[in-house]
Amino acid sequence: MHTSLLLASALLLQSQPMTADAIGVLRHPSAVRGLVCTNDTAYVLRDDGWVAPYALETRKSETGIRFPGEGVAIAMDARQEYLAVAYGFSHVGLVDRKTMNVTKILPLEGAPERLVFAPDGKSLVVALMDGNLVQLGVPQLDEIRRTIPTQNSRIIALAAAPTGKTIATSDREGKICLIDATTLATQKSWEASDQHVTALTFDSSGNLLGSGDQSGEVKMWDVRRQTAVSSDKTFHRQLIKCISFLKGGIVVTGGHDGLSQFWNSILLDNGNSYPDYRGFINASATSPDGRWLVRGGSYLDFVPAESPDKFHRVAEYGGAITSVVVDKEAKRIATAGVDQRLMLWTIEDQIKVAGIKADQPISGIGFCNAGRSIAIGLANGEIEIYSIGNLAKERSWKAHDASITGIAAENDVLASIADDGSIKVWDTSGNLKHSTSQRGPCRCVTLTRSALAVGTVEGKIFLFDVTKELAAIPLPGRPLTVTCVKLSTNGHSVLVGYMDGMIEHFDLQSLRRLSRWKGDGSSVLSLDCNDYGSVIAGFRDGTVVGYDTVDASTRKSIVPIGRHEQRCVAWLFGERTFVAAGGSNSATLFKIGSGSTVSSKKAR
Amino acid sequence: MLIRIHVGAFLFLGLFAFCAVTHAQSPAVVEVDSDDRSALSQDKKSALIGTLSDKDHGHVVINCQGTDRVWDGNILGGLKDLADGRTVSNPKVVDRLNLVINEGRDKKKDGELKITDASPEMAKAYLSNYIARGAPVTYSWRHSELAKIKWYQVPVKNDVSTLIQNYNPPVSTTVADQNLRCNDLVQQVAPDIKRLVFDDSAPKRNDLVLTANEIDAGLRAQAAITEQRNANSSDLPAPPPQTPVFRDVSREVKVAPKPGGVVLHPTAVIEGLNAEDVLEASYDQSKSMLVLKLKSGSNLTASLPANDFVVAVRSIFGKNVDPSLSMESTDEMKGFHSVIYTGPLFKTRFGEVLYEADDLLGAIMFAYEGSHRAVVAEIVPHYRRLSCEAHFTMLVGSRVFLRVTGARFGARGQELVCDGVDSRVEVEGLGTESGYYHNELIRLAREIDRHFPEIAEAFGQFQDLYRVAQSVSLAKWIKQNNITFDWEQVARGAIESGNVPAFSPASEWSILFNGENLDGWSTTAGSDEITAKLDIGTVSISPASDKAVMVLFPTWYSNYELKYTLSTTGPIELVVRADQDHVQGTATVNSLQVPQKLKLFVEKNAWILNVGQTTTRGQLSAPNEDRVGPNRFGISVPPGSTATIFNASFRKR
Repeated sequence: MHTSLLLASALLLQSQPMTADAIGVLRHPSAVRGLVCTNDTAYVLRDDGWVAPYALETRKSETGIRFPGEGVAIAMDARQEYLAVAYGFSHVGLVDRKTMNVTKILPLEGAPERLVFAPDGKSLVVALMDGNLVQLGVPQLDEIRRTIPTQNSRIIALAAAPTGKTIATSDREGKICLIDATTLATQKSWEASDQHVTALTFDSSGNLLGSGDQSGEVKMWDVRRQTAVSSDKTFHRQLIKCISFLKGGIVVTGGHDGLSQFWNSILLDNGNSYPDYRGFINASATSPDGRWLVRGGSYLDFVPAESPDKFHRVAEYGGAITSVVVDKEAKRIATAGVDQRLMLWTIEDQIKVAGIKADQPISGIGFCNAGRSIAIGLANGEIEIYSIGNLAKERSWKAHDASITGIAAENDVLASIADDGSIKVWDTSGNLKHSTSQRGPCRCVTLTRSALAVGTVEGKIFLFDVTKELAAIPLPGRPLTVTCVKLSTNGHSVLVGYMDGMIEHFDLQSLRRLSRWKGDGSSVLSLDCNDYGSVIAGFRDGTVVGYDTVDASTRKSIVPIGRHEQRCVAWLFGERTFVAAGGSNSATLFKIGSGSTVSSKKAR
Repeated sequence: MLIRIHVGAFLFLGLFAFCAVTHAQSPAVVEVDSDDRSALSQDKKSALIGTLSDKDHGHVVINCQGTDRVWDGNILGGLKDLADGRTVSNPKVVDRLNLVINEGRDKKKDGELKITDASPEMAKAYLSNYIARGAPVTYSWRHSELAKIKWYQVPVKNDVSTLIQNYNPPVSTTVADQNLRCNDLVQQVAPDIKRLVFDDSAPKRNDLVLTANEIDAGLRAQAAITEQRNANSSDLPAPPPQTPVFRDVSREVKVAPKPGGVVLHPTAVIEGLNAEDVLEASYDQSKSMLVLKLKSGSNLTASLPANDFVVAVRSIFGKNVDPSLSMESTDEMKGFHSVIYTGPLFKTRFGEVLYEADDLLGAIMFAYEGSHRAVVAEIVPHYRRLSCEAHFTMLVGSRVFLRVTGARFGARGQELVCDGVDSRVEVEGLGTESGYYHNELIRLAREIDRHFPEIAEAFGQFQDLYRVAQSVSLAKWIKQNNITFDWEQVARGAIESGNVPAFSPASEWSILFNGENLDGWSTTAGSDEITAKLDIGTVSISPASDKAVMVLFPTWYSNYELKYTLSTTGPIELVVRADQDHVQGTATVNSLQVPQKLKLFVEKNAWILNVGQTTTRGQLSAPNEDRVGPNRFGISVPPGSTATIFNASFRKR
């Protein structure tokens, strides 16, 4: 997140556009970030801030806690009393492991990236993004001291010996430092690699240190002599993220190539490879009794140490958000996508979240029944209605014979479109009110009051009045897929986005084109318009751009949010806050900088 | 065919450098891409003939004008017979007739019609409909044969439709004759065929009745002559390397955790057999048979070719890896992909199977030109659009691989028979972007998955892959269940040698037109400035105002080749290359409403435009070295002209 914001700032300076700051991120779970393990429970930190305990035998998830921000790192002390979690941009939280209650939250000056408990459990050592290593007392999390192991470098990996008082760090120069956990004084250091050393783990004796680097090379170090006992770079193809020592001298490495490599001994001369062929591994942990290895990244696996090929896939993560809707009071935001998850975010003092997992990828959502329910459209052609209160399924029905490509809702009216060109209008009980079909798949839909607009792959836009039999009023269109349509809040005009990035704005009374904005080839994937005539558009190349329907010459680059598609944008509060989501599998809330708006003129 | 070519290179308001008017030579036999059939069959002075030889007598059809449907002499003859009150008894012909009369009917809802129940009046109606529309090519060949059909444009003197309407099939003296009228129809439509065939590959016999195999051979020879003549006269740049490179060193790696290819790690599920009931397993290579000796005293056998099973055993038992093959970008050899594999696949037929399956998978998923497209498009609805959209929307590089996940077996008496193989097309972002989901590519993958059994049936490459997967699954099953098995003895078995390339050509033609709309292209023309007509497989565009409509496609390459199949009314400009600010070169073409295939070569600052035997050259006006954004190419249609796009494809040079 920091990286993308820095990039955004650089670009903003070049073009002098309005500024927009990220004020929050609503994440769908996309990865496991950290793991710790007792003999019977694995504690899983996800990137969306959840820490969830899982029983190893039953693989059932018990009650977890959610930290408000991105989950970064997790650690457990040797006595298994506490879990420490680094999250968000600057926080560390301490959790009583048995009760799963948060006992202490500490805001830090700097972004925590890694943390370990000192071997004696009396302190927590946190590596910050600026290269500082901070020692915090447990359980008060009071800062005891801080140091920078390598000047002008970040700490790339951090490990604590299980006994004694040594911790190890690595830096961008490929150097490993052994540090006294009490004084944070560097005791020894040596050049370990010409690459970033991205993983460090001590064995149970503390005499052996495993390292893995950016190129996929694994090394075993004799800690006392700082010499490499063994090394291998013939198995892993990408950077190593984790190393675990199992009983019997078995070493397990994992990383971005998704390969779980079981080495027969610390000599790294032979072993068994368990590639998953897709996804990545971020973290691994072993149960102290040696029975289980838990590995996580784009999936979560519980692996019996005795028979690694008979692992249990507990969960899979990742996807892209395809739909975002905001309720009328802007108190609730719903997000959904190809990970089949519907997440409902309630914005009060804090952001609360609830979610369900559907059986199919979700291609459209809409608040209905005066905001008391939410409808989702699925890839198998079904519509499901959930209550807002507890996300219990109220009803579902087969709406189309083909994949639903979008739905729109307004009070108790639902409109759904599908790949087979069908357009249907329902009440929220599932009664079909009207239906029609067009040649070629329907791609996007918008509903405001009684006006319904549908865009198709054939480049056509059809307008309907849902209170009557569906008789289409066509707009001229262009010979490219209409990738998004959005009716103005009063239903008097419609914005149309195309595959090549052009946006056209039509008056619905005269069917005359009011304005247009040329594209640069990158598809417009989402559009929203507020009461003031300000338009935001999300593009395939990761940018969000603002337009003013009053002054059509206005085209203001708000923020290039990232590399991935902005499949959904929506205004939140008036004309200063919006949400953008898509290929990153998260929705980011932005506040437009003070003194700037999208529109050149205020409310008409 | 008359074409006019005007060429020029200019900045936005520059002048034409020079003009030329060229008359094409008289048409000869030309081999055409299957994708160009609906375009090129519009030419009234030629017929498009589809041929496929086989071990019997082969088969030939005539392409219906302006469509990708065909007239089949056997079907036409059968309908004529029935309309005239005669009978049709050849089962193959009856099957085809039944397909024709049931086209578009919902068999479940409306029931199935039988041609044998048709009265002569009904047959006349069917005949009239067939003469007007022909039928899908899948009614004349099986899916698995479609990719092998060759299409030839052959000069004719008379209108094909009229000939079809007036066609009188030869009277059949035997039942077999009813299945040979396809040869007669083709010769009636294009009488020159007989002369061409006898000129170049005279059948070694005295009668003058040609078989489809002979027509296929004759047209193939004639098309080769035409191609050579065009190449000699036009002096076109040599194509990029097209053939794989072999090396005498194995490209085996210990593990390929992120393959872009095919991975075999199928789990065998054997219905009705408990592994604990198996005493031991053995393999009889002389009979290509795996024998599972049961504790009950009986045996279960599975027929597994030695070329498959021996390599599977070497891989699963000897190397402890799933066999996989991957093609990856490389700096080792420019213009090629590096081929690597896990398992002992070097110089094996097994390795060839994986290579060929991967090559086909890449072509299907990444919208490469080839005969596979027509076949997949028959099976997967909207395949052309889905594959192009996945290609055009790719911002982050993605990796695609086919994972064979399982094989299902059941006992039939004492024989173990495979009831099906399961697989899944996997997609993920490259490198550190492996968590990224490219929705459009994933959507294509799921559609391919949904129809993969039919796709596998249509392509021998996937059938072979599924066959070797059976051996791998049973080898894994034996190992996982610790069944007594002398794997070392099996692994020592001799197998046929095969040839797995070390480097695979990476110069594929990418399809740029999805056949439905102009997605992937961009135009500054708004909805009130462009008139468009979307038809099956074509898009026609013309300006709706006094401004020309320019439709451009982006590329980051400076050197490339383009192929267009276009028809124009009036002159249009081919934009050879443009950067953000300038058009660097254009060529004006006018096909006079006849669909034409145009080839454009752009290298350094020069370009060559080729239409048949006519070649023109030009220079680009800007060096194109300091540009910030991508290059663009495309067409510009001035007021008064219309351009109809049938096909467009791109290849980097």
